[in-house]
Amino acid sequence: MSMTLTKINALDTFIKGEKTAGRWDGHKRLYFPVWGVAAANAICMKSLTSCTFNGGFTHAAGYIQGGYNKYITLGTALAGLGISYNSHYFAGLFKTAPSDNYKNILTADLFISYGEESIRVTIGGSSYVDDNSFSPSDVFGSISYGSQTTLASRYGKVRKASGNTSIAVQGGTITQSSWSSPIVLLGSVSSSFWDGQCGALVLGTYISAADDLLFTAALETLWETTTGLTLP
Amino acid sequence: MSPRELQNEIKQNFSVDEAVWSSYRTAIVNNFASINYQDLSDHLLREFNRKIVNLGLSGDLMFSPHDAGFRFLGSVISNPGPAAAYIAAITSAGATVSAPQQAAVSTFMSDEIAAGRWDKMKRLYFPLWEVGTANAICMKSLTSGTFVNSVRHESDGIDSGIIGSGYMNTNVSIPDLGIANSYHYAVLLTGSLQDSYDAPFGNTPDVCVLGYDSEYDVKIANLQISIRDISPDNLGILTLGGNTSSRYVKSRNAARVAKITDTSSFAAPSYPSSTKIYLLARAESNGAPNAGYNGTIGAFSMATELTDAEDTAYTLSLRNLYNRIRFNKITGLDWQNYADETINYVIELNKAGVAYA
Repeated sequence: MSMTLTKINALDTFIKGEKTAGRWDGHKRLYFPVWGVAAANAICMKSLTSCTFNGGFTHAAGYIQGGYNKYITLGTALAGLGISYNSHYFAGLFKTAPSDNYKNILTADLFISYGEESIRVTIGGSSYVDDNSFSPSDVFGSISYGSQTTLASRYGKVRKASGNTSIAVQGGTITQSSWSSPIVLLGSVSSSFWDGQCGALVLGTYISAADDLLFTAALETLWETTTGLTLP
Repeated sequence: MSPRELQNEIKQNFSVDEAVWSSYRTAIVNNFASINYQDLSDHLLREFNRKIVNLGLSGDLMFSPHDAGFRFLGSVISNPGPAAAYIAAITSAGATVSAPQQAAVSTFMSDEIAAGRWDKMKRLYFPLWEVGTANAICMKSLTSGTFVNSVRHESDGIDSGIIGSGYMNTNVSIPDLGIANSYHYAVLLTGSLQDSYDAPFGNTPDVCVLGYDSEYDVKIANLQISIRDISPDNLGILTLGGNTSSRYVKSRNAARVAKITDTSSFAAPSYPSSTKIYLLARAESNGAPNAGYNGTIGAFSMATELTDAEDTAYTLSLRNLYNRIRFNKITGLDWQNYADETINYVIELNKAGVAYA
């Protein structure tokens, strides 16, 4: 996929918008793997560092797709990015859902998986988002999860072309002493894999639910403008 | 003083001191920039331009563009920025410099002047102009180096090809520049390089040679640094700064700036003034150039010592200059309309194979 004036303007609108809204500094890693080229897809839009694709990903126009024994490593832990258990945010844009259940979007000390009948976020052995309104066959657009240590700040959301939906979150206080596990995206080193088509992955510090609404809308606009595809 | 009165004063002044006419020029811009341009063009500016030509002074002083009768044809008069002389020199040497590229150079120079680093600069070569005679011109001194043998002048810098023999002689030595005991060298490396003891620049084999050895370590002078962080896959701006008692080596790539090492046990060597500093080559002990570096160099500078903090700010400024001009060269777009974050991401994508169409 080549670069064009339309795509540069879309990128600039997105970046300037995030900076103006005060969210840009909080985005620690923002992968936008739509370019059809592994070396380009590996580049983080924010840090300009590169991640590593393990196992042979498909780099299609508008998304990447992994599978069994395929995963992304960043060479750092959440703590290394300044992301902590009391201030974290994750978002992913997916063109399709994985082909099977129990798949991992993110494995580190913050564990996000697509369970048998739920989206599950696990922190320190406890699930804090566990909603069964989404089946494994449900093709979804973007999911996001933000949290601080208090329940009031915790949310999970799914954005589709049809709109934004909140996921029920569980109560309880998050406690975690160390966030030092290496980050693995779209799978895990040991077993679970993710073969849904992915157009963006974001790791950052906490943003509010209101900001999440604005951010995922901006991300959707960027992805759709850049790729010519539409969110499911 | 009214425009007519100043015009009469100019008409009767036959000084050949360019400072006098530079002062007149500044006064005109400061006092009359907002009045009717047609009247200014027909009278005061026309008289000024005519005097500059008749007195044989530098054409850089003139209000341009102008017609054959010296009437100003532009829409805005302004004093030339600090980059005007450099841009005029490289343009005369055959370079095509777009308005956004001129603005990038001007912004860089203005920032360096404001930060107090420009006075420390002795030589700064920025060879992105794709023309040898223009690439040889130093941005600071406006002196020219000399390209020897075959050097490729590409849109992202200069290189000598695969194990080529081409190089540039800066025609100056370390003593010439007065940077023996207080120094700062910076080289912006963009392209791939071969696996050998290459030196992007050098004076003698043991002094001020910055290069890579077969293990991709950095080698500066007699200081061999076993840090794989600087590898052919991790190119950027390498800097060496210091004085007679301490020095540092740093690198800036797209993602970060890092200090590779510093040391306080450095004995100042004796630099031969007969040995010139080469680009794309190092010097043998007898002063002869030893070419063979096949990486691409996008910028090279020599200055008196910059502090650690000054180095960080300078390399950021140099990176921005390089990326803004590359952005304009690749896309034709004016970098001033885009966030630096957008520009830098587009540049990195381009290097990774996402071409502009």
